[in-house]
Amino acid sequence: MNWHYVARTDLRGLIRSKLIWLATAIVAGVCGLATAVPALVTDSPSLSYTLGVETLFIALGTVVPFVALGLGHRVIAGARESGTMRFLLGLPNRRLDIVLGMALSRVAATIGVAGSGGIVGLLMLVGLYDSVPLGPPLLVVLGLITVGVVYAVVGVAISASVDSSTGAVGGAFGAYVVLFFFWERIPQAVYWLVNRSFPGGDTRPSWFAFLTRLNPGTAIGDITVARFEWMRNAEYVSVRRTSDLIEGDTPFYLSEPAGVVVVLTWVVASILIGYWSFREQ
Amino acid sequence: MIVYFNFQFSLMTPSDPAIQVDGLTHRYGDIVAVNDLDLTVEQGEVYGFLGPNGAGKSTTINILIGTTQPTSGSVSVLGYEAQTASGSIRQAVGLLPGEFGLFERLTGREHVVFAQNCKDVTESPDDILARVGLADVADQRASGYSTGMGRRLALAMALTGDPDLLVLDEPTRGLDPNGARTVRSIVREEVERGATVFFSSHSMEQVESVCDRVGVLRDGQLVAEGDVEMLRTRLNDHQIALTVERVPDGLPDQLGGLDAVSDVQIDGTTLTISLTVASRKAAVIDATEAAGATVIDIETYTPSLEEFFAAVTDQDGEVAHNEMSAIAAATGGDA
Repeated sequence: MNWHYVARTDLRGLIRSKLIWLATAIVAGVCGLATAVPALVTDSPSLSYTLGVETLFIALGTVVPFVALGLGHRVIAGARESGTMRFLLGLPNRRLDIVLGMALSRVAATIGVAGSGGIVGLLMLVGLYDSVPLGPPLLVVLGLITVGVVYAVVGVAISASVDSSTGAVGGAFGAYVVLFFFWERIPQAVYWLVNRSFPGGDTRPSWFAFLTRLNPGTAIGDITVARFEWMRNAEYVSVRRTSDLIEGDTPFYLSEPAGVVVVLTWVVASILIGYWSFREQ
Repeated sequence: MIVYFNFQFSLMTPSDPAIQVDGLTHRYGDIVAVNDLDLTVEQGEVYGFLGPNGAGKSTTINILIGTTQPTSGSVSVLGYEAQTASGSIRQAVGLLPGEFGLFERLTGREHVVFAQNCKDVTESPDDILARVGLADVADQRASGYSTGMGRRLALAMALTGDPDLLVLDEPTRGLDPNGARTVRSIVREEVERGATVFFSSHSMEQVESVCDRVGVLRDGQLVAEGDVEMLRTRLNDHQIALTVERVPDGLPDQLGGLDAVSDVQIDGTTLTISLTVASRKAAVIDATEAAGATVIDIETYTPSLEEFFAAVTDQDGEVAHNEMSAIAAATGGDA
């Protein structure tokens, strides 16, 4: 059970890298600036507060996938290329120890970098806006950090299944495109295959909502951002709950606990796939 | 060996070999890296595993510690089956990998502590670092280490936990003569402690002074094995150069007709006689004197193990053999 030694060793190296501190500074700066802008450009305090949360959400939500995949995507392929894998495998470590340790370290680093953006954003909200309820934006930030955790673990799985850094970059880019942009096309494509037409109107079949909900970002959004009425009808972002896609009562697979299951499944499956690929190589 | 839950206990007795390899074959696609290899290393022995780059040494080592699964054959290390008890083997073995990269941002001491943690041993990392000569740079990050320092650090990691078997893959590569000497003295210390050492190298010179036995690998097969002296005598090329006052007529033919003489060359008053058996040198001198020649100088030449190694690992042994004779002649038989 040496995963924690692997994690500690990897994290220690990460903390000493200049790049991660640069990334932290950039993320914190971008999030702080994004949160501050509405306060500086609008006069209405109530509107500007929700705008501030919204711009923090947009800023942090944009950088988190890059940070997480960036931290995760070449950890194992990189160790193989640099030759540190020779030590990791020459010592009595199981391959699961290595995948788990690396995943933990990269998740911790993601939480650190994304968290710094969230904290700076929250501080800006407190400092620049009047009588701010801190609960909702905190939940928004925690949700986005959780998105980062999933992307980081997906990145580690990619790093375990490719045999070079170049492959890792390709894999990470693919994961980003699929998870961040392309996912909503999946239920649409299925819909087209079934009906030979694209869905119209406001509602969708329940299976359509289910497929949409399998995206980790969507599942996390349902549990966090989409809880708040003012975020659902925000100025620039539209975070509809997946359950609003269908008519009638919310089925169990669109409930909040089911969303937690989706997120956990992504994390566990990624680690298992990473472990399995690593073992096969 | 018994399998008990997930742990395997070694039931090795003191007379069992530390490493037992039978019929080991490993293929990467169409390429045969190791070809029906049989190998036995006794406990407490220093075994030199020699071969040119690409001979299959590192593949064999990866199979020994169980991180590479062989295509066929059986491998037992310290009483554990390599294919099923890799973890137990890596716990008991100290491995210095042939090619590796250090954790650039970690210090030398942190490398050793990591190895100690993984092996669940508590000992002073500084003692080990001092043994390999890195005490002064223990707190420096490995990114500032030279190739030789890196190899010393890898050796320090291999030494953690007093392993029963040290598997050193090219431990002297990139080291200056001083560093190579340190490695050899550590090998001797470890054997004194009771460890077995499996020392791989592409250079005979590095192993001949520390190894009890040497195996030479070529194209995944052992082409020679034995103690250092035995290998030396196996190379059938001993020469004796006799300088005489005058070469009597018929002497070369006479010498050529002696047992074990394979060749006679004349250069002025110097006769260079090639022998297939070293012990026939006296007979050559006797025959020369009996023919009426006065011997004024004798130089004998025994091939070095390096040359033996070159001869057995060269694809075309004949060429290597002749080149060696040429070298010997050029250096006056003193090579």
